[in-house]
Amino acid sequence: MNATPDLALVVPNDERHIRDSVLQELIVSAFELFDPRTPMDAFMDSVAMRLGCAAVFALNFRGDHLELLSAAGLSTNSRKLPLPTCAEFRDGVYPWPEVRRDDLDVWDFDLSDRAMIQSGDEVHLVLFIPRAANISPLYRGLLERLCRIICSALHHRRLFATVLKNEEELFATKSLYLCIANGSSDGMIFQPIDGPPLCNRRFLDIAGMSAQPQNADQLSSHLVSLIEAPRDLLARMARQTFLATARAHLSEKSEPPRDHQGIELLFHDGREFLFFCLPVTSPEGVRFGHCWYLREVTAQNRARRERLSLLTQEREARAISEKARLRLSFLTDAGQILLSSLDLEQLLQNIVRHCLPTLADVCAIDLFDQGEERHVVAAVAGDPPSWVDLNGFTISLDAEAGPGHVMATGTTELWPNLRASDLERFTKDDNVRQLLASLGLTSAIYVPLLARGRCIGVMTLGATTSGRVYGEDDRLLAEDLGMRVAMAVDNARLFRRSEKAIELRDNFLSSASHELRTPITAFRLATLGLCRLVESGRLTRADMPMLRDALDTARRQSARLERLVHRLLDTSRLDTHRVPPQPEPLDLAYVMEEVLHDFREEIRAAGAEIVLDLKPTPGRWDRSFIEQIFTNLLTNALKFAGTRPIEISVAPDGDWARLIVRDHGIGIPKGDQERIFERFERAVSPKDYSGFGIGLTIVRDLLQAMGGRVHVDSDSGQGATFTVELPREC
Amino acid sequence: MNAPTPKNQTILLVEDDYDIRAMLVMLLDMEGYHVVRATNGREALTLLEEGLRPHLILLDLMMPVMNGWQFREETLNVPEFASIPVIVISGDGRSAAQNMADHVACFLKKPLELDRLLSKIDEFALPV
Repeated sequence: MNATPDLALVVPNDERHIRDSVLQELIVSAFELFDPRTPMDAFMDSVAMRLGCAAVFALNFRGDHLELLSAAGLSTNSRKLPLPTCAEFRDGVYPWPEVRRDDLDVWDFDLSDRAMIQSGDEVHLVLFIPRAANISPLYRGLLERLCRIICSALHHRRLFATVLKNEEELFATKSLYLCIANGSSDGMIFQPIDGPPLCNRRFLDIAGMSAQPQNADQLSSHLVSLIEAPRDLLARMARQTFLATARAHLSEKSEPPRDHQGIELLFHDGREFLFFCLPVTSPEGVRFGHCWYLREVTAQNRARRERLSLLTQEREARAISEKARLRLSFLTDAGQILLSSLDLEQLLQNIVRHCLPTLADVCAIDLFDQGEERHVVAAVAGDPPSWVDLNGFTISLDAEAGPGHVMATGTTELWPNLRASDLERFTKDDNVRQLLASLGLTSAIYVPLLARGRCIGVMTLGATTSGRVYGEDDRLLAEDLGMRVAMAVDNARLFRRSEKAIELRDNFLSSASHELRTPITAFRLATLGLCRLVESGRLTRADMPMLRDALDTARRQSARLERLVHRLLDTSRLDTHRVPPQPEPLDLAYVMEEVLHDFREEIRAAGAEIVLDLKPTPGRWDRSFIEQIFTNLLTNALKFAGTRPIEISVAPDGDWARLIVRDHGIGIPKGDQERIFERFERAVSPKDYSGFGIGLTIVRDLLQAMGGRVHVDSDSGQGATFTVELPREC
Repeated sequence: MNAPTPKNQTILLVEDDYDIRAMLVMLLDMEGYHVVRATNGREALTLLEEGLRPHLILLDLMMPVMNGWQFREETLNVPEFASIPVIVISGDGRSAAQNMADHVACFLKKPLELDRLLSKIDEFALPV
């Protein structure tokens, strides 16, 4: 402030010189305003000092709000004083004691440029100059010129400040994003449109890299070296394609895969990652590049796998228990069906129906054990099931596989996948093979039906259109069912047999009763007649024929009774061990004549004609056996011949002897010819013909004991020819 | 022996056994009945169809050609024959009893009690 009086003292030439020097000094000082980091105060102090001001203010009039940008000549306390409003300042109401003086001139310079005005700012440089300083008005012009420089400086100061602020903010943003990128749990490779790929810290950790890759090739090679090749071929191909695309993208900047969900990569160390790519784009749509993500999914996958495994286990357990329940209920139902009937045919049909379609698409039960009537029931699933007639088809027991083999070995066969070529092994019979092929079986189980240690048949369970494939479980179920079926079949057969036995016994008792009562009746009537004649006491010669007849009848009937009793005893002996034949030299023709002689009265009573052709036939046989054979055949012929002739021939035939007894009676239907040789079996009703039903059984057994045989040739209404063949030496 | 008192009643005897037939004929003859013989149901039916009208039929059951059951069934179809009383004589009690009892006058089991047979014939035979 001391300089101000100096200015007043200088001469005009000097004054001009001084002014220039003041201007230069202030201009230099104003340059400092360019830098927003240095305060404006130094410049203000220069102005105040050079021009001898009491105070200098840089003020921003912002609306009515006054902002003190900088000041010179104010005490520390004054600077803390509340600022006046813009209006108060313009009216000269100042809070600062330094300028509340009357001897001060106020020079106010507007420093605003267009930019300031636009932003609502109005910056003024206000100088409070003591009048006593007597500043030349020329300084005002000097200051006006200076103000243009200050204005420019302030403008640049503000721009510079903005730049600095932006730079600072950019740095902060960059740091923030780096922190975010490095803090991410995903490994990231940023592939900018230009420049090498950039990895975040997590990626480097995952990949086990200590520094950023030098180039894209190194990065992709390193990545591939970490990955396990998938076992599944399709997965391996998909992975290769994806990795090739990724490599091309990273190295050659080709297009990355689009709309791809990414692929899962399994690292050698067991970690699993999801590898995918997303474009990096600004909100305005500017594409900066792509980012590859490597997201670890080891834990999720493990959890998912565990969940899946648990779920599968639970499902399996549920399926097993459901299957067990169904099997049990199936077997229970089957058991009830098997118990519901003793009729074999009905029983088999019911059980076959029960198996369809629960257990099979095709089900067949074939009972064909030796010595039993064959029963075969088969059906194909449907509503209702369609029955297949298999009676014309036989199963060969010497087959190497299939039902015949099962029957022969008694072991189950399970064919999960049955091929047409397998059928070749089942049978040599083309018809059977065609039938099997026509069913179109794709899977099958053949179960033996085992009862009391014997295989009585085979049950077939087959799959066709349902596509079911039989397994071990089905085999167990089928065997269980087979066991039950076999037991039920056995029961039904035993029941049928016992029924038959009861029927035969009843018939036998009925016949035996009739056979015995007839001679007894005749005998009694004869003796009664005799008694009457004798009791009358008036017998005359004329009564003699009657008397003789009665006596003759009594004699004959007693003989008949004796024979009957013998035969009954034979019957009871049938089962017991027979005495072996005791051969002696015999002539069959002679024995036949003897028997015929014994029968002469029966023959007369029957009114039959006997036509004989007896040739001497010597040999060695048991006499009583031969007599019994002849007697039975003759009785039989007499019973059925009626009054028609009976032809009997006896003749030798080499080492054999042949006896033929032919009648022209009612004959025997073909179907009954086997049966009549069985005990108590008869081809006729006991109501029509008497007899025990044992005669032919005795004939057969006695012949067998001597190495001979008998067969019958007959048909209904055609008479019957019994041919006996005996070796000459028994 | 003196000739019996003729009863003027005819009995049709249907029996296949020769001796029983012969003895019954002798005994019934001794009692004064006129006996006509048939060896089975067919023969007996033929006799009836030819006009024979006995006062009683003695019927065996188990016979060849046509048995007693069949014969009875045939005669029941013809009212004229059905009205002739039938006494069944059979050795087989059980089967005879079945479904025959309603259609015959009486059932006698072999061997026959003569007195009982005669009293039944006397009881059921149609009057002269």
